[in-house]
Amino acid sequence: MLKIECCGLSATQTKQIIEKNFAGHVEPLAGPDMVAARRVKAGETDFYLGSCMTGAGGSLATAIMVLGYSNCLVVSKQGKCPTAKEIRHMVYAGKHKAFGYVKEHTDIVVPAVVQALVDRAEGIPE
Amino acid sequence: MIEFTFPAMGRAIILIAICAWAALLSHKCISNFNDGARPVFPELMEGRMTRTEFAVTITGMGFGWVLAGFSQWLGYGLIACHLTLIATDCLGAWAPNKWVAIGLGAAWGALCFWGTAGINAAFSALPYNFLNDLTNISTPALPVFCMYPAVAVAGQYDAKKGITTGIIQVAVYVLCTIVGKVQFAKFAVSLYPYTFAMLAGMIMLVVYAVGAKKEAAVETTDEEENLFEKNSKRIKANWLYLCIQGALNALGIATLAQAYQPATLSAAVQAGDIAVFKIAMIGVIIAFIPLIVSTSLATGVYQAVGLTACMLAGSFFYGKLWFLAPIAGFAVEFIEIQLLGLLGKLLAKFPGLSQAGDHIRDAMVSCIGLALTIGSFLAANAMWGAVGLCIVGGFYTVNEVTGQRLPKTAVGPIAAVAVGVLYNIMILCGFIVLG
Repeated sequence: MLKIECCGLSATQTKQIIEKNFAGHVEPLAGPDMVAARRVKAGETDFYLGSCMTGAGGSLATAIMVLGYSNCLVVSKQGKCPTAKEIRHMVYAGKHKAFGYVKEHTDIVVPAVVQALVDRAEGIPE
Repeated sequence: MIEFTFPAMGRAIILIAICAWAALLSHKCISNFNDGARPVFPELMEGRMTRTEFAVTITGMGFGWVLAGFSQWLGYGLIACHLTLIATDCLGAWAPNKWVAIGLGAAWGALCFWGTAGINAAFSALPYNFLNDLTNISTPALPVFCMYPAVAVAGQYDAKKGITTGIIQVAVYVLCTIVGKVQFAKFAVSLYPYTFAMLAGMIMLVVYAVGAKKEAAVETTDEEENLFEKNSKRIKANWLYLCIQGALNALGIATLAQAYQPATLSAAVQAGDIAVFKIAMIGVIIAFIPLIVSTSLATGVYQAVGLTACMLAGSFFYGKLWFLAPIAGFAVEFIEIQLLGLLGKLLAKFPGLSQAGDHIRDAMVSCIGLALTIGSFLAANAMWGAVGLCIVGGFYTVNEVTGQRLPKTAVGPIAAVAVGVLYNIMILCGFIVLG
């Protein structure tokens, strides 16, 4: 079972989406970003999801600080939300620990990212 | 409509100075405005990205915001930071050297000033001048925005507490409209209802925060402490550059050459009561401190408007003694920079603060976005009735289902302008005859 941290502006919504769609596969946690990012670094939890107005600032600032820029992926930007297929490819193409997105894209990005993370963990090819 | 009391040429010079300086600071990686782009700066500074790669990334993140800034101008009649400073982030990023950065920044400032003036003139020349109808966009701004504390409380705690806060805010609002004015000896204080409704809500936010259970402090590692220390030193070393930007920003607010939080500022100026802007700014500063402090300490790049306190400082000199605004802005910025390290430690000690900041920012953004959208419908209705409503509604939903190519806050006002232009085309074609 994957443990995923839900942070940022739409943290509550992110957590609800995961609880609804991935019950039994993923355990969502909602803590302050400073705590969450450190739990991911220590290996206590697996991934970090964060949202803000831009997809890259508030959502990932703490994650970049704690985990490093190369471990963080900007999934969606203002004015450009990728499709579920593109998101799946982005997740599979890298080994990122933290994912940032625009808060208005939460209901598109979260299911796609989490599905890809779950499938990858279970060894299902892209 | 906004009545500007400061001479146009003066405002133009101030705006050009703000933009030129901000572009220089972005070029030198000293500060930028887009909090989202800040984490990319170390990639350039530490050589992991070329300047071109960097500039492409920054521009990609900024484009939507410049559009949002433009639509804020359409709705509120003020040139907001999103229109000026997001663009100067990008221009500074592209500039090959500091002189080009200053030149591009200045040119952008001039374009913003005379471009918006030109659009105004063009609108007035149309058979049907819809600028007056367009001001409907700002009608819901303050009534909706002043409810943000209730939204923030509901988001952070639960619906019941949110509704309680909302009811208290509305009660205070009604009370202020009934009482109207309070007489203290010789001084008559008029109770502008939005100011006090917002204040009541902010007090409720604090009451709930004090009562909530505390999160455990975060243990920072030595590696992080060193990073914080190094970056805090870098920002402090750039204090003179940053304080000049703070001084210019404050001057911008005092003269309305550049606006910040244009929804509230425009409403406050039109109502002739700047106090509501000051109260709103206190909330804004509290909400943005966690975001700005954490991104700054993680990167060594500061925010072009600091912790936004220079905007509050500038508003104290709106309409009077404007020449003191830069001094206040300079001083406030200097104090902020000195406190940065301390604020970083405070955030680590109370991690709940950054979560509270997230909820407040989320509430503010949701309220402003909703107000802009409703306002756009009102404007479209005023121009062209049901047809106008139909066009704005269609525009909005199409943007939703096609992946929000335009930011949510920009789509309404742009659609409202489209309605006005179409209406004029119909008049020119003779399909509509003005009575």
